[in-house]
Amino acid sequence: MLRTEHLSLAYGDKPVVDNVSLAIPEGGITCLLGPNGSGKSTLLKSFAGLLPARSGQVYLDDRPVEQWDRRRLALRLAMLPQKPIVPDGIRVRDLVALGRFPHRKWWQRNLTTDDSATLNAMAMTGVSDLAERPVEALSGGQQQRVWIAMALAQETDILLLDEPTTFLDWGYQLEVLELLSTLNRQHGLTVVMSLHDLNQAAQFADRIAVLAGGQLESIGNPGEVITEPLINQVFRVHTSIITGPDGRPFCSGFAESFKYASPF
Amino acid sequence: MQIPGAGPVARLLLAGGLSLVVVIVAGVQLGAVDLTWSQVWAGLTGNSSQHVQRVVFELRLPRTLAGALIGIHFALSGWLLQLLSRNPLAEAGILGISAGASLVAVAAFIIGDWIVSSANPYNNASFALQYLPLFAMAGGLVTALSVYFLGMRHGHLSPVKMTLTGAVIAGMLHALTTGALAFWGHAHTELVAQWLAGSLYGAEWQHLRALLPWTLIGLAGVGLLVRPLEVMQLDDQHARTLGLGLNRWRAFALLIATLLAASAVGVVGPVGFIGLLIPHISRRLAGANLPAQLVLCVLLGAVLAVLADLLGRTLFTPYEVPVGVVSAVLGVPFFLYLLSRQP
Amino acid sequence: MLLLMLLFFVGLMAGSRWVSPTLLLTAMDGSSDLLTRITVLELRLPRNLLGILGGAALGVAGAVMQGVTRNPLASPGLTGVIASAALAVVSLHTLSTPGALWLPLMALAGGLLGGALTFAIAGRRQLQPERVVLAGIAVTSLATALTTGLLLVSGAEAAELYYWLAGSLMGRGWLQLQMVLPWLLLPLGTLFVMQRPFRLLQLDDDLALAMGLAVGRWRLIFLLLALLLAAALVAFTGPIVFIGLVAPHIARRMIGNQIQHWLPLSALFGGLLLLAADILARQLAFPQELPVGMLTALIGAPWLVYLLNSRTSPRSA
Repeated sequence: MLRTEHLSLAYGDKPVVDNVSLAIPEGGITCLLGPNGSGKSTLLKSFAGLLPARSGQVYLDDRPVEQWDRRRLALRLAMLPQKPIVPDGIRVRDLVALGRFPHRKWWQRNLTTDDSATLNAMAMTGVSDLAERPVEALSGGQQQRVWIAMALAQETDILLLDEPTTFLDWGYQLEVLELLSTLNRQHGLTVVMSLHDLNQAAQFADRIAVLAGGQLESIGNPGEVITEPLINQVFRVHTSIITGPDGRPFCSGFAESFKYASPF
Repeated sequence: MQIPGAGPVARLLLAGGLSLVVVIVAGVQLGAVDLTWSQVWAGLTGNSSQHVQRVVFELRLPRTLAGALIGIHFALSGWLLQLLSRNPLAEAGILGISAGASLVAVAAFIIGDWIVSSANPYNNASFALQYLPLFAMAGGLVTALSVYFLGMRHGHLSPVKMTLTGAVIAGMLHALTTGALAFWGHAHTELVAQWLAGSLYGAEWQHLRALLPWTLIGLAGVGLLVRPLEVMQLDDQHARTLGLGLNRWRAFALLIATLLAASAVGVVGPVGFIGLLIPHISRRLAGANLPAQLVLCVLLGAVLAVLADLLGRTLFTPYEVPVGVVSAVLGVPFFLYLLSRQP
Repeated sequence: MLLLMLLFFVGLMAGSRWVSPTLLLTAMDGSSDLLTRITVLELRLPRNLLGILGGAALGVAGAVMQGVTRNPLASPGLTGVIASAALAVVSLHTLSTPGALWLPLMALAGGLLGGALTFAIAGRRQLQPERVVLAGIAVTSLATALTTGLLLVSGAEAAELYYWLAGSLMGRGWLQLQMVLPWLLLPLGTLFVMQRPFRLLQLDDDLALAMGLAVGRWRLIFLLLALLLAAALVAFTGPIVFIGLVAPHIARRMIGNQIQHWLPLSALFGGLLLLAADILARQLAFPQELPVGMLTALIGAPWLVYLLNSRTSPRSA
């Protein structure tokens, strides 16, 4: 479905992602992990076709993403950037409705299909009763749910999220992650997101890809990837890992003789 | 997307429409010589004296309507530019488009005048009228294009950079215009000064004819832009992932904004602040509803321009204060008030 | 420095009548003909001096504004100060016949108002660079609109005023130089004494406060001084933009790490730029004179655009 082959990305002269090949499993939750500057955001952007490849390719359905018509691409994948801009004074309902854009071009919306998709999306994310309220007035968690609703209104199979929990309070973080998990299980939504918190990744992801310095260090299910030597190498943190009742790893770390070396 | 039809928005639009009608009527009525309603009506229906007929038809009506049109032009242009540059302080004047239009228009005027007056001294006026909007538009377009391309960063348009570049270019063009005028425009300083202040003095039907096609084109363009504009409010990446060809639509929006502003400048001279104020007001009134904002801009822009011209004509008779100055004077305190309420 | 001296001499020579170096020397020791003597001593010399001094004033004003607001785009022109000062002067001219003393005072008042307005609009706490510039542009537009409107009232004088509005050093002689001198030298002197607070202010606000600097008060003082410099000059030469913006940048490129040289170098480059522009203004449209403001705009703007392109500007929402 969505995969990369020997993908290298750069901003100007600065290389950010180096020779990464991975495949995103359909219908699963994939998490990109890695320290700041490891190339997670950049990789996500390239999945959405926002960044041309320096070398290698990103393929969606075996066609290079750069060759996709932008509108058709928008019908297959939706992306939620790190710090989205909220248009002044816009209400929840109208913001979610913006997600219908790729489905119509210039003439008025078809009231029934678009409206019902919007309502549906709001119901799935539990923001229906917030529909008439201005987005700016909502809490962080609620806002994030609204953004997800907008992505859902787009009616795509794939949802990309760039650090969706980084600026939220802990409670809201879990709220969002649990929502994504539900959407994945009940609606088959393929989720790819970048996270900072290892334990959250371990808890919610089916597959984890660890990036460091633009390179793919490890990829697999949480149990395979979250190991003491890897975490030590990538994050420069000593950990002790226990396996929880659901079979997923949980780690607590301590920075003994911590020397943070920039991955550049 | 809301279809403006329900509740407070509809009321607003109605109010706006009514104000427009009132203001236009007042514009025709009042002036150096005040007319009564019956006289105006008689004048329109052709049942009055020659004199009244003339006043109504050849002076007031075209002037008032022209005022309404340029109000629409500048308001819409400002609205587009503010959305485009994500900057509530943007408008055609500030981005240098008006300055570019003015410069080329002034230059054309000076050069053309020099050419023409060598041939036939009586042709000055007609030369100016027909071609000035075109020259102004050329100037405005070139400026807009430069600002657009210079405003790019990493291949995408950066709103902030565009605004700053526009400001710098505007400053340069203004200095050039003043310089050119000072240096070469001796004989015509008064006329050009009048024009540079943004004035409806002497506006006639032919001005309207020159302007109207551009109004229509502009309105059509804006209509096309409404949905893309909604999406453009989001951040760039988001808009792209929704399938919007961002660069293309931004260029188009800039084009329409420039056409609107520059054509108005070509006919009337640069009038600032309408494009700055009206979008603000319509945003406050209509909220996040873009189509409603659009209609309000049209209505309120026309109202403000006609009102400004009216005040300019009537407050200091027999002097005429040009529209540009009145709008600036009206504009600033209001603008300050609006801004003081911003975070 | 050397360049400046050279330019100075060229400036003495250039103009509607070329004066060769030898003639120059004769003028200096009093042995030349009357016309040459007048040209060099009465016209060119004070004019060039005014150019250098004025340019220096603008350069310093710009540097001060940039340093004190930590905004690389701050300058008398872009913050509405110059335009408002010009407006004040024009209103004075059109509404009455001003005595020579009133000019700089009015200009100062105008500039003060304009500057205050800009900073008020930009929002007091934030002072984000871009917002200040944008507000300054709005204020400048307003001032310009009002000025243009006033010109209509002035009728016959309009042509003259237009020329003035384009910014020029033409016809500025010893008289003007004498009048403007105190207004320029005093602030310049004061500023050179105040170097230490100036340097501190360029650091973070909180840091400076922690070092015992009354940040708000000092910032105000510096801005006022910068304002004074710019407005006073405008009163005599008309608005000349961009020098206050460009000179400090050039100076900064050259000083590397030694910040203490910034102000003097800005002064130097400011003077250099204005003098050069004036010489060009005199020569390019021989035998007539272009207004200097036009040239500084022509040179300054592209340079600025280049600047905007080469730096990675701070992010704003």
